[in-house]
Amino acid sequence: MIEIRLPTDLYAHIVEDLQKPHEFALERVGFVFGKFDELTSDKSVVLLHQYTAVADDDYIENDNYAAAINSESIVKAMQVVRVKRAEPGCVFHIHTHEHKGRPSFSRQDQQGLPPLIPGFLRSAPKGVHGLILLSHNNGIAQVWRPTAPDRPESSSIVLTGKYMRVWS
Amino acid sequence: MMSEDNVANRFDRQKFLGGNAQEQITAFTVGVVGLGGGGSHLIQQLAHVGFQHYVLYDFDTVSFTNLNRLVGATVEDAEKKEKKVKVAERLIKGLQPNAIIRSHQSRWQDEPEDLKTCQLIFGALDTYLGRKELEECSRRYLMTLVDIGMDVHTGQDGIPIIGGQAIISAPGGLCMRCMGFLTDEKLAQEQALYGGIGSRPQVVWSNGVLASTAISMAMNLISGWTGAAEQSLYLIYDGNRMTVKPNRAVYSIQEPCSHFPPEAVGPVIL
Repeated sequence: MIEIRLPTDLYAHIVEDLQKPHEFALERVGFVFGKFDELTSDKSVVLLHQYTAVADDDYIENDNYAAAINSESIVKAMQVVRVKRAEPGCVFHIHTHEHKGRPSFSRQDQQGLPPLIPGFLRSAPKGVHGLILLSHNNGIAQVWRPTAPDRPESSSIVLTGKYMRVWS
Repeated sequence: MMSEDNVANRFDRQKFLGGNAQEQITAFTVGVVGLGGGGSHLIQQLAHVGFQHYVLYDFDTVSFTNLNRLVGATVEDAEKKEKKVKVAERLIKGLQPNAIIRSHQSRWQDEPEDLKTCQLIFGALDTYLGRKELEECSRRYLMTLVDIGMDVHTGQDGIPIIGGQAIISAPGGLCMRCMGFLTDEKLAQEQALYGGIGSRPQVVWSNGVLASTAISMAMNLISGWTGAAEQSLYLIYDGNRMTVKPNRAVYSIQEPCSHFPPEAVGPVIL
């Protein structure tokens, strides 16, 4: 089992950014970075510590997706972890769906987002990478390990800091 | 055996915590480091509240001098020199028969991996150095630490003075150094006394107050039941006046923690 730990101050910063309106994109996306540690035979953790917003100019108009971003923004995200390849760095694409309760990846998400993962795995082969989807009060995650690039795992998300929540 | 009705009803009296609070309590893994006077009270309350996943650390065994305060320990335990982790397990299992417990009769530093699987850690340690090391680990693994401790010293007029604290050190927040609880001076003084500290006075009622305070703080973190915008991070126990009050000096600290930068997480890569 992989558990993603997200400090509440970083979570607040992410939510604030993702909720900002964009000129034409219907939703915003970003990248959140962390470190991976395999603790025991049945539990590993991803420790998130940094968020990078996708710049306004890096969104591209696309009728099929609520938010489409250019390749430069993805390369920038990969560079963050590539510079420290010796570390078990992690990259997660993150976005929100505008409702309360447990979210689920849309068909567009399932088609459009997993192709990001191979590049992440190449950039930081010692870490795990994936996708995080937030709602107003919940979240889910899918994680890909370098050892199983075709088999994503569902992961729990733990908010920790000013308050504590487990989303599993 | 508890009937199904009894199982379903057993948390009725704490429903005010919120709709999914019990579900949240069940989801967390709690660590308790130090299972003496303070830690045994913590264990008892965590089990009553309904936590199901535990990681426990204490290298020690029960002695007769523990029996004035070690919740759950018996005369037979002292005679048998029972492991404190076994007493804690028995206490938990008596209330939560299905609880999953990983116990270590060791220092946490010797077998740290299980500790890092916790999201919430309670520290009931005797030393400043022990607290410093536990906080360093908790910050690297984005775990929230709730520390308790008490001390008895003699005042100028010869009257014993009981003091103590319950402190939350959470990722992104102030640490025990920021709050002025851990200082180089205290650590140096402790190091100078190394081996000569002797057995410290401890009493069951003070440990009980501090453990209850710590559980109260943790339950608010998990459920938010008080509705307070800001959680008290540092509560001071005055055992002579029998009060628990916030350390007001902490409220005036405006700067973020500089001791644990956000990127300093995970294993240390040398």
